[in-house]
Amino acid sequence: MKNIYIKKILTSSVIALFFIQALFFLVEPTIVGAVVSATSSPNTVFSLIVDPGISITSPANVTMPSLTVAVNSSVTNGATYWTVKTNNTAGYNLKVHADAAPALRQGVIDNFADYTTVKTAWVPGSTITDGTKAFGFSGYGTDVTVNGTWGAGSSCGTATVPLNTLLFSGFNNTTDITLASKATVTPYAGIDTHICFVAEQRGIYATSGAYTTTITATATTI
Amino acid sequence: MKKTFFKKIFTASIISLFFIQMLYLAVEPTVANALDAVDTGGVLVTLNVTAGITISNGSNITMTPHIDLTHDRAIGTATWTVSTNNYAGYDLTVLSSTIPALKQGAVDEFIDYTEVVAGTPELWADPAVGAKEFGFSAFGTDVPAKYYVTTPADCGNTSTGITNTNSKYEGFSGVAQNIATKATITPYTGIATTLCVAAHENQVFAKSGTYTATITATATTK
Repeated sequence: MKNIYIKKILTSSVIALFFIQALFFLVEPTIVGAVVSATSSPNTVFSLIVDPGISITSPANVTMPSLTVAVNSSVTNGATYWTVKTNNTAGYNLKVHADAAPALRQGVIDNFADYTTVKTAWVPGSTITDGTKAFGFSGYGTDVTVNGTWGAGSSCGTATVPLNTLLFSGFNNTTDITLASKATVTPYAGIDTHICFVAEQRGIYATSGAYTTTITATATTI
Repeated sequence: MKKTFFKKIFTASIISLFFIQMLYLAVEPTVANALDAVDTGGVLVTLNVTAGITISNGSNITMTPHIDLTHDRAIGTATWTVSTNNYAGYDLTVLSSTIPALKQGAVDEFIDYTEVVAGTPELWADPAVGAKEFGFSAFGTDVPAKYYVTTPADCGNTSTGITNTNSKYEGFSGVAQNIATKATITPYTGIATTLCVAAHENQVFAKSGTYTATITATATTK
């Protein structure tokens, strides 16, 4: 009787031990390896603001090759240019205008009429009307060929003959005329836009003296 | 033969039991004393201290100065405070939501700072010419020494955007990066860790607009 009693206790002890151990192994990793974390909320958002800006250089004054009784046309050498820098996402426009109409004047003594604003090639001795004097401009550079309206080229031509692939326009008083445009930021060094001035007397003498005009270039973010 | 075998086992068991009891009485005097008591009434008191961790809120931060045609770099600062009672301490990680971290949508972006030795923070070096980079550093009591020469007092000059010369930077990588660690509990008030971020363009214009980097800070018990 006593033997059976001990046997029962022993058996139930072993079974109980088994379950206790099984339970321990089950929950033990949770107890030892419990990791909790907290995430900062809301998230931290760093903002960097890049303000749009634009800059343009100021070129030196330019003196055109002289007209004489034997030299009827004058073309600048393209050394006059503006450098525009902008970080504006949508880019920039570079526009030019004269200070008066007509642009090129010798006070009240004489002047050159403004060339047509319909951009056309300039052929000395044939484009402008005989017996007239005219003054106009064109340009070249990476951003000048806006829809090809200024033609194409990498110089102004010679001192007396404009580059025949460029298209010329007259100034329109103080109204801005777009010479260059770009739809995105410029390189850090900026973009150079060269301007070519042309004056011609055809079958008529311009009165001797100094003719001047002040051309203003304005770079604007789009 | 069988009888002798059992006799030997019985004797060895008695001797072993004796030594085990002696050892127990030696190392557990309280128990030994208790044995002398006539009556005992024990109570087991259990207090569970659950490991927990908190981190302060994130916020929106605008880097300074704004980048424009005359400023080519900017810095920003964010601070998180972590409190934990976890006996093994905590880790604080930061994670950017995008690669690269600093973007203006699909318009433009700053690449993540590139270390000479990947994963090893270094003193801020100018990006390559034509490149724009964004990186981070950290300082605080629990920040690993790899992030500084000597503990900096701030992230740098907020007027010029020049980083502190004691800070070492690395780029975000798209995986959580540990910026603070501690092997024990924190003070009740927690431990503050400051994250410094820096953006720098080198002879290139970042497109104007607002760039953002969303950073998630997570504190985890060890």
